[in-house]
Amino acid sequence: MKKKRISLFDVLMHVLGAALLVMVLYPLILIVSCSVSDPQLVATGQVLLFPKGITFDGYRQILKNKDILIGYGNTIFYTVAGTLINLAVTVPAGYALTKKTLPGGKICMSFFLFIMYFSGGLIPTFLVVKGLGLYNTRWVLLVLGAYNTYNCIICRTFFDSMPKELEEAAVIDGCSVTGTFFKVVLPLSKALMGVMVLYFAVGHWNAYFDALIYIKDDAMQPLQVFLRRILILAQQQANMEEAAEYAQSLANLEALIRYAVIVVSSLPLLIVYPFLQKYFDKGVMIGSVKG
Amino acid sequence: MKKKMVAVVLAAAMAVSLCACGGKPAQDSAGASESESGQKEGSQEKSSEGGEASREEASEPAQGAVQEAKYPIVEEPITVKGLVVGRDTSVRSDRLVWNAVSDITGINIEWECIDADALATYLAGGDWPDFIHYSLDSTMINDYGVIGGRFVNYLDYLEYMPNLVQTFEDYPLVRGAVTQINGEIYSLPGVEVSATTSSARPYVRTDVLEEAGLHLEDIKTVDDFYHALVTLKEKNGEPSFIPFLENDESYWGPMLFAAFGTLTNMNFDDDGSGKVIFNRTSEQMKQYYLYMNKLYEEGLIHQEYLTLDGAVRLDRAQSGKVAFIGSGEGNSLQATDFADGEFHLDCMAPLTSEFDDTQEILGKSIYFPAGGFFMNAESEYIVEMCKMFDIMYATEEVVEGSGLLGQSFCYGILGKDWDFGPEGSGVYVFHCPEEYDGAFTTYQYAEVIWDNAGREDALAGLVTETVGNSRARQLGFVKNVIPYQSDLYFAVSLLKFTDEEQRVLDNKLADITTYYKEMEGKFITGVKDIENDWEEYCSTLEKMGVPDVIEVYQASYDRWNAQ
Repeated sequence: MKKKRISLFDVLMHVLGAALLVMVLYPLILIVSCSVSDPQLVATGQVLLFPKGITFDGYRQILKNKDILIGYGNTIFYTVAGTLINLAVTVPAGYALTKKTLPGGKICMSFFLFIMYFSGGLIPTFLVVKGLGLYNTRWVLLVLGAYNTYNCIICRTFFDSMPKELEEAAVIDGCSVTGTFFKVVLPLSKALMGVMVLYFAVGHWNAYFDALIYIKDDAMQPLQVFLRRILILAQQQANMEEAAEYAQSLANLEALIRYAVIVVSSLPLLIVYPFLQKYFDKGVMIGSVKG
Repeated sequence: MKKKMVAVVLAAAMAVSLCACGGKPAQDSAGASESESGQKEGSQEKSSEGGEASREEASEPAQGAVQEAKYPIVEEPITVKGLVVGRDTSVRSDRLVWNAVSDITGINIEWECIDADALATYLAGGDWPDFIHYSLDSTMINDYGVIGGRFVNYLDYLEYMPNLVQTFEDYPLVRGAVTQINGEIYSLPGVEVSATTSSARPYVRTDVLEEAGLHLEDIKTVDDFYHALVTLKEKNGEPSFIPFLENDESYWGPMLFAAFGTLTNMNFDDDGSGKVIFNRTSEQMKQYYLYMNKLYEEGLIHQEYLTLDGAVRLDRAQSGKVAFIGSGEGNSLQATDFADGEFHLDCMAPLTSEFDDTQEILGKSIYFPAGGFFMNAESEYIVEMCKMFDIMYATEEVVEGSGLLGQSFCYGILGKDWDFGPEGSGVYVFHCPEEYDGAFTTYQYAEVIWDNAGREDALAGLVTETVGNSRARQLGFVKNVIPYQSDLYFAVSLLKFTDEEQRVLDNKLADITTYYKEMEGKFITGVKDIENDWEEYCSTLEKMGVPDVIEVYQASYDRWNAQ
């Protein structure tokens, strides 16, 4: 059997790959280590990779706040429901825009492109949200941003690349446009859907600004708002002129909480991502220019 | 052709939308400049838009026409809405001081909390509560108050606020601080006179001094200070002074500067006759820099004092080798940082020199802007809320046994959250719940108050009974700093400016400040030679527009003094 010759190129690629892996993995491991290490050791730069002086006070402080569970529940709801609404609005729009026979198709596309670059601004949007009765409701986080032009263009490009013969065959067999979309096109678009779900879900998971502006009631706030609030309060308390021992302990806790917040907010996505990776692999170049 | 048409239409739409943005604000600005000349009449007309019954009752600001407060304020309980910003409502308990206020006044408050980032959109939305318990920035005050007329002018309701009137008489500076450019008052002032109302904060570890055979009370002049630093360096092998000079109104800067002349403010000041002067180019400043440069050159100041971060500063302060602590690390020292577990922490009294033998240092403003209490001009309970807010300025319990007076809006209920110590003891006592482990400030902001407010001078000159870091520092302030603070305080941060004046400051002041702070570092560290480069430094500041800034400050200060 012939042995595969290892070329210089192979070696270089493996070395480069290893370096990139370290560059990506090191900060992740460091953050997790810092979140469970003695904050004094972290502050003086003694924690370089693995934890030292293990303590879980940061996580304890975060998790003893019952708002975290409320935030997790809200965020999961907004992520799931918001992603479904995003898909329901954006993907069909992308398909419709591939149809040359769509009345006003070009005008629609021009309009979508325009709003991709220009918006009314924060206060006009706030006034519209208030006028529509969406202020301080869950709907505002689901409806605002339901349509995304950039993702719609990705969808349109993907659908454009599908063989037209498939749709023609469906039409010949008596399928309507809607039927063709749901029974022929969508089943062949798993890669696209995987990418779209990832983009929309990550956006919803990390969203906090719209919630800050449009939601007042804590019962409807997503996780990121509570984490931000815990962190800000910890910083404020640590900065107060306070009994020295408590100030020092608060300053230490604030440093711990900072790292713990990063882990708590990122962990679910880190867990889910590997299951979506195969779709992402196939779909990541979907929006690229085809030959 | 079609594509060109589409492009033209889109461009036209963009142009129209840009034009639409320009209309209203220009009209508002014109309205504002017109109303400046007849402000009082305009504001009275705007105030009359809401609360007709209240307007009928309102009269001119009271002198002998103030109404005595009666409780409860209302016969039938009412509910008003109050907005707080950036606070955590989840841990609020029944210990909130406003609950006690509701009990005696009959006015219940429904609190609404939003994040600071959401405030601008909340206010733009138009659906306002009865009052806002937050310190709004000057832009919002100008837009919604001076121009928009959306806030109540407290001057129209002073007859219902006898305690506030008295506070204005006792502290005239405070009235000026809350008076806007149009002469109206939209917010309520905070007054703090306590053991920590201190400008300079020159913390000293007296145990480090004593180990070197030195005593704080023997350090009276700049030469004594120099020799103490030499002795400490010889003993400990490292500089014993890490100054924090970023803040020109606190810590060591104003304290040492004042030793070299009669000036107390390092930047802009009142020369005593109402004339604004700039002290960064004064002979006193030069002497101060020469002295600090000498300390630096001889290694008596930490050579990296300009770039040390807080963690390293604290580490050095805890080490037991640094006697003169630069900044906030003084607050962070614990009993375990001292060999015998006792707090050997004090403040150094002002020094004298061959240039000045007085011990006067920078004064401290007793006004703080926290609290706000901007009242919605469309509220139907303006008079009632004025009477309620007046409790914040009471110098005695408003209702016997209630524990409510001005100080309560900082520390909570008298007799429950805090108490005066035995007569003559010079102390006050905190009653902190066990779960807070003695950290009263954390308890205070978590459960008792949303923010400091009102007249907080009941504890002037008193220190906390609780032994620890706070008590040690307060004793230092009361003994060695506060008695030497100048009565003359140039309230530069409280001055109000017209749009034109503000433009001058925006264009010039930031660069001037950056330059002189940069040169301060260079002079002290020797990068620039003080004797050779002083003239160039002064002329550069002159060219950067210091005279224009002085002119602006003078105009505003003249208006301030005329109030």
